[in-house]
Formats: sequence, C-alpha cells, structure tokens
Amino acid sequence: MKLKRRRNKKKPGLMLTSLLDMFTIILIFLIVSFDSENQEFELNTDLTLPESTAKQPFKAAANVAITRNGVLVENVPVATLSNGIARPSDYEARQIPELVDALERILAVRVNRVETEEEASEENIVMLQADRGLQYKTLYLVMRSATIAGFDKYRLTVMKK
Amino acid sequence: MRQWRKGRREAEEVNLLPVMNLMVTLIPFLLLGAAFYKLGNIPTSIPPNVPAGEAPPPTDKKITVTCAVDPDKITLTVSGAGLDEAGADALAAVFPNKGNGADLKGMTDYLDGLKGQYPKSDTVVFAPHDALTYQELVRILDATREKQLPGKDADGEPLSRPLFPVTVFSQTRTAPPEEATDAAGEAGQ
Repeated sequence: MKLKRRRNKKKPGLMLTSLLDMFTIILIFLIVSFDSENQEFELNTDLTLPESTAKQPFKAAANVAITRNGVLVENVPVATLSNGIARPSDYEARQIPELVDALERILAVRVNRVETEEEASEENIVMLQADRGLQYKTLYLVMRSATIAGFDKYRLTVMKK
Repeated sequence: MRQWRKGRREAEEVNLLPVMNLMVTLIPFLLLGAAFYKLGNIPTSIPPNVPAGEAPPPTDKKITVTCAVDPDKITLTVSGAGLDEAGADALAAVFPNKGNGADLKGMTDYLDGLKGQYPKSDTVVFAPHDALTYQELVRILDATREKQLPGKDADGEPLSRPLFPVTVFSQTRTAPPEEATDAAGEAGQ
C-alpha cells in the first residue's frame, strides 16, 4: 500500500531524450552538407543541369545561365531565346550583341576589383549553366559571344552523378 | 535507509529544454544553407582569334584528337607534327551509333589505346553537329575525359584513368536539313 502511494507522487515528465537524439543526428548531417563556398552561387531554377562523372570540384566564376527562354548574366536577363534558339541574325553574326555588352561590363568590374595580373587572369572565366536539352549551336553562340567580350575560359556546370 | 532515499531524490533529470531550443534555432538556419545536390565543373575553351602564323608549333610527342559528332556516328581523327598523312589516317576511327545513342564505350576504349601510345597528349577538339543536345555533349565529354574503372578510391569516388581532359570546342557543323529539323522538334518538346 505504501509503495503505491509513493508511485503516485512522481510527476510524469515528457521524454525529450529520444527527440534530442534525433535532432543531434539531423544537426550533424546538416553541418556536414553545409557548404559555405557555394553561397555566392545561385542555381537557376528554370533549367535542368546535365549529369556528369566530372570530379573537378565546383568553383564559382562569372555566372551565365542559358534557359529555354533567355540568357541571364549574374541572374539578370540580357537576351531572349525562343525555346532555346536565338534570333537567326545572331547565328549569322556569330554573337549575341546584348550578351557581349553585358559581359564586357561584368569583366570591367571584375578586373577593376583585383590588384595583381595573376588575379585578373582568374577573372576572365565564365561559368555556364545550361539546360540539358539546349542545342550545341546556341551553347557555342554564347561561348563565342563571351570570347568576344574577353572571357576565354569556360566552366560547364554539371550535376555530379 | 534514509541515505538511500536522499540519493534517489537528488538524481533528477537534466533540463533538456535549453538544448532543444538551441537545436530548433540551429536546424532551420542550417536547412536554409544546406546543399542537397553536388555540383561539378568541366573546364573547356574555344580557340582564340589569332592569325594562323602565331600559333605555337606542335610537338612531335603530342597528338590532338578531333572528335566530329554526327547524328549517326562519331568520327575521330588525329593530328600531330610527328604524324604523316598515312600515320594519321591509320589512327582515325569511326564509331557508328549503337542502340539508342553513340558508341561511347567503343570510343573510350579506342582513346585509351591512343593515350597509351601518346601518353603526353591531353587535348581533344570537339566539332559537334549544331542540334546536339547539351546532355549528350556532356556524356561524350565524359567519355573522352576519363575511362571509368571498376572499384572505388579511398573517398568512395569511382576509380578512373584520365584520357584527354583538355577540351576545346570548335565551330558547329550544320546537319542535313531534314535531320536538323527533326532534332529541333525533339528538343522543343
């Protein structure tokens, strides 16, 4: 009888230990997957990147995205595309004039903010995000426009398999 | 008996609520910054606009592979200062499509053999037809850049042997009109 009374006195508490275990596991997972280097990069949601076996680690550069509707430089639309195809006059001229102008401005800003020539050589790299269904002729047109603007190296952004 | 009772009273549970509060604050913050995808890069270039006379002379120990991609086949041609016309012709190869797509395995094996003969060579020039999709281009690039080997390395990444990792894009080659129209129609869907 005494034993029963003693038990009744004890207040039932909420069991937080198992919840805390779960939170700890989630926290560790999130800390591991937290990548501070990619913070300046914004993946365009209007395109699907191709999958690749590339092992080269991701490194950000001047961001050019090619969707089915247009070309964006640093997330600002500069030229329109019709279902991934540029104007016939652009293919004839082998450049997109609006893109060349935008990239020239970007390159001038990027080169001005660095101090040494070695750093400047790292600035003339374009990071290309393009939809997996994009035709090569449009991809080449954008790359050629970038070359005319002064960017001579490209990093094709891909999704690792 | 009294001592035992006292001991039981002191063994109270640790107050976990502040820790829970911290977790609840940290987890949404980390969720916002978490990347649930892995990105990679494929470094490439296109030829600079320089007069032909200013190009550096090629060395005899290196070859450059040109990969012409057509809708129905891939053609590999080889050039280098140490190669005469007959030698270059002997190294050229054509890989007709197999099944639904290009014969990438056959091409990779052939490039592996070329790499064995000319180990210092690292450049492949791409000349795709203009309707080639970006995903297909990346697949062909993967096949020319490295050969996948069985097994995994210490980091859990699949083992591979580098083939021709330096990629240069050439101009587009216009496909025959009916093929170009079909490809544009498929890409538009």
